[in-house]
Amino acid sequence: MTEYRREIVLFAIVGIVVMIILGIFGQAYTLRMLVEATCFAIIALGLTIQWGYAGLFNAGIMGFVAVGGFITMFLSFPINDSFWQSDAPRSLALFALLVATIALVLFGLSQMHRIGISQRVKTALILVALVFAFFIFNSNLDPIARMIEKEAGFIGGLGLPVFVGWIVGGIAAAFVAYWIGRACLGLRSDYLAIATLGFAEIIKHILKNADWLTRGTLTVSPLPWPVPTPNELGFITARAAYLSLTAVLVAVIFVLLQRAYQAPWGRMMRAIRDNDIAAEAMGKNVNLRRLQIFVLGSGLIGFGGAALVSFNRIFDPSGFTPLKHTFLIWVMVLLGGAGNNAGAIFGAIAVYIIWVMSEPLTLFVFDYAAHYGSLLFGWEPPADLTTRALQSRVFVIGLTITLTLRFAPQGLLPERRIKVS
Amino acid sequence: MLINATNLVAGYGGEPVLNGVDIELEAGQIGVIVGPNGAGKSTVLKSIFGLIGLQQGKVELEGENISDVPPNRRVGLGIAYVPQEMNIFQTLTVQENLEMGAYIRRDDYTSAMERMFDLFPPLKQKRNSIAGNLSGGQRQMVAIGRALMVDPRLLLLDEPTVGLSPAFVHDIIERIIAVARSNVGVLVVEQNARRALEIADTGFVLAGGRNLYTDTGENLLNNPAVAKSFLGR
Amino acid sequence: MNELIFFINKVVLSGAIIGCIYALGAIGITLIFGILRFAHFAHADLMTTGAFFALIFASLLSGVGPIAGLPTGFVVLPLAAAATALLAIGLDRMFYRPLRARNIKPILLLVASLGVTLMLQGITRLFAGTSIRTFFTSEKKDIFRIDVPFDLATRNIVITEPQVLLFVTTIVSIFCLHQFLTRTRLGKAMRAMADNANLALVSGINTDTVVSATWIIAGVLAAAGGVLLALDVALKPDLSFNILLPIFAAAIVGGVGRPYGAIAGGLLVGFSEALAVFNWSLLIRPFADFLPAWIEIPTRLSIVPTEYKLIVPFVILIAVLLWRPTGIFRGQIT
Ligand SMILES: Nc1ncnc2c1ncn2[C@@H]1O[C@H](COP(=O)(O)OP(=O)(O)OP(=O)(O)O)[C@@H](O)[C@H]1O
Ligand SMILES: [Mg+2]
Repeated sequence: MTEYRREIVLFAIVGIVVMIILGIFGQAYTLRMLVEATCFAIIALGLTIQWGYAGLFNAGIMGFVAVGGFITMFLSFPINDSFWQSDAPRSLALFALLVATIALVLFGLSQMHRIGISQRVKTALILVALVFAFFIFNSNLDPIARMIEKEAGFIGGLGLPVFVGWIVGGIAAAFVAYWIGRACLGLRSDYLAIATLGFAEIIKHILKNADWLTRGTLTVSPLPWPVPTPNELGFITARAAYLSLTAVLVAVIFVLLQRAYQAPWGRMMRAIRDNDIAAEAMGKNVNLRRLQIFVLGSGLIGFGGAALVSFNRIFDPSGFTPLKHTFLIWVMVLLGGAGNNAGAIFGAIAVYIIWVMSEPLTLFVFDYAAHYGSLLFGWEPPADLTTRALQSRVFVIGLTITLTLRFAPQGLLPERRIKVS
Repeated sequence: MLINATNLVAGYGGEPVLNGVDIELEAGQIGVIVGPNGAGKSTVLKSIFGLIGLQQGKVELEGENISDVPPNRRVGLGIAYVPQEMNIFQTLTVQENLEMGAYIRRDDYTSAMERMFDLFPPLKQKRNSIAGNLSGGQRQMVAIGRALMVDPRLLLLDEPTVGLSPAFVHDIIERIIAVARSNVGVLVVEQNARRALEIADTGFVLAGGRNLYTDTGENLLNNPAVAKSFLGR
Repeated sequence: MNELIFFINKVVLSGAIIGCIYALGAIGITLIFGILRFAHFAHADLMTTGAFFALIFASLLSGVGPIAGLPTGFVVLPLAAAATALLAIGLDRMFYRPLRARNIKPILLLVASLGVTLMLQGITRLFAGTSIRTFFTSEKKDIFRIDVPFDLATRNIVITEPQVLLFVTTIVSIFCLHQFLTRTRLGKAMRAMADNANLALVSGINTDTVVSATWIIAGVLAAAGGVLLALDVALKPDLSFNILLPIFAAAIVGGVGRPYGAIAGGLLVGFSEALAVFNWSLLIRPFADFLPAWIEIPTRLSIVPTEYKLIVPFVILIAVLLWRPTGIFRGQIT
């Protein structure tokens, strides 16, 4: 038991803090915080296998969260009748057929080397075809999108069970990760970071601007829950039910990852992370393994993001920010201890509590400063002091990252290195 | 004694690679280190140059203990080192490579550069070519020339003839002799053991991170045990 | 004719303008990548901070601009550049060097630079607020209208004073950088270290000095890019993540570690963006009579809508990574 002293002490501290918050802010508030923290824990577990197990740098967590959130919104939101009664579904179906045809043609072109067409000609043909495909895609989608927006607002959901939405959301995120990984994983690790960062910004832009699909800045709500909603049970019971669901999910994912870590597969991943040249020499296909873990981790991130978005009951693409949905998670993993699953969970919960509490705290500190500043020095605080004050959280997140790297590079719960005999 | 390294114990983290190696060399002499792959020959040069820290032992340059001097300051003390691989600046011109060799010199080094072009005439016409585009032999010349730009007292060469055609091997070895004549101590690691020992004032046979034999080059060549295990046939 | 002028204004000029900004950022990225071997994620925020410094100096020294006959924001550029260079060195000392001293993997430096970027963002926004700022609150922006000597052209080529200054500054910077890298001892040492850091150490090159020089150059150029961007449009605090991707794309397209490649890459990305968001229907419309009647020219015909401009550098980046990861000019790092 002494072996796990650190874990026990740290989790006990978190427990005590939660109790204090419960006492001050009440049950509904605390439950909401805990549900969100568990969703973040799922996301952090996704990141800890990418970074901790395999050393892959994902700077676009926000993008995968958004993909998961969007898919779950689309699948689980109730059906929009005015969309289905309009002409739009037929046009969309035709459009889908068109896209399928284009995809088929492109696939055919990509296989042309089999019938003896030279590589160079093939590349040129594919490029030309891509340009055409792009224009056909745009010019056909545009009128449909406008029609949908005019007649039905947006296309609505499919009314499927929420859990289906979460799983498909995870799969969709994994699918995107597969393509990004294919492009970048054979290269220097920095390139993956740059590509994921770009991808996240773009996915946010698309979701924000494709009004026909997501209602854009108008947002979609209320999203359904996999458990009875507060309208049926009241806040406390409903949130408690949601919490039990997410907590079970965290536990299940934790157990699975823990077993994978100790299995030969996990050992191999660590070997690759610690010395990829030696691992390659041992005949492991390094890039394939990396791709596997990148896809798996991103899938988890998408799944966690789906759970988070469902819980908030609102799909708001502008609400995804790099700060909260990428860097906050990095702090969770770095501070908790990369490569240690318990560390990721601890980090997620602890950092999320700090994050939630920091808002009232910052405002309090700045109000105080403004009050005494004007009293003692005649300082005129700027009108937007509150929005500015919240920026100090950005600073603190950044500072935490750099300080952790410098003074506790292993995190509070360092990875337990298992001796391989 | 120009260089006196005693009881070197060093490695790359983990088990030490050198388990107590001794190297001694006088000014103007050629020392040759031979031994099987992985014996620790390159590691000896690296620890004399200070690129890896010593766990035990010490390195003395003309009687002065320099074990704690960082490598870029050892250049100033007159030690120059040519690594086994990646020993030129590929994207710089030949002349710029030589200038980088003279980086620590604040005086006018044009005469030193002219001497390099005399020592390695092919470099003269190529002085403005990108070093990465030269032939293997010419690159080796650039590498040695770069090191010689500081007018060192001790030159450390790690396998200067590896991968070269016999004519070039001969060329390079002639140059090494010429350098030693100008009162520079030259410590060479060589795969061409027989050829190298022929010009060696002192030969060091290393195996498993230890001195196996240390003797004059001639004696080692005539030593049947050495000939059998390390010189082939 | 007017259509052509429109094309020059909207594509040639705006592409060159944003391309120069990207180039100024990308040179820094590529130098840092070459010398320190990590992707410096805080670079866009270094640019924003440079503009923020200029804003402070301009408000302290308001009035020097009119004396010099130039925008105040531009006159204080040397001060802002010096401050940014100092900041860059300070950041290195505080956050990157201690990590390098521990001999860690370069990817951890990248993580640290993410932390640094957030810190810079937090501080500038705390002091400057989150609203958009401009240098031209009291001064006015000079606009040059160049008449085109053709009868059919009634429109003018339009270019503003800050844009002219941007071109001049970029050209001068590139010339100075070229002289520095090819003529001076330190500049050559910098190229040598980017080429082969180990051999640079072996040659006795003081790598700390080279690292400091790198940060100074990167800081100065970042400040120049940031200030000139702010002069051209405005200082938007949320700029950084939008400019980071284009400058990385530019550096990678040009081949990492190659300053000239970064310049070409910056212009390439800039022109691609301008071409992609350009409304082609204006160019096609004059030819409408020649087209068959059933083809209807839409009012907006651009390759990507303006909102999706960020897709352009991303597509370029991914295409280069897939097709030729060393960049079109063969950088040294894959
Ligand atoms: N950078 C390094 N990190 C870890 N181990 C190393 C490193 N360089 C060498 N070694 C190990 O140290 C041992 C001796 O290496 P060294 O390069 O000194 O051998 P060598 O005698 O020069 O061999 P060769 O003839 O192949 O050049 C080898 O077992 C090698 O694997
Ligand atoms: Mg060797």
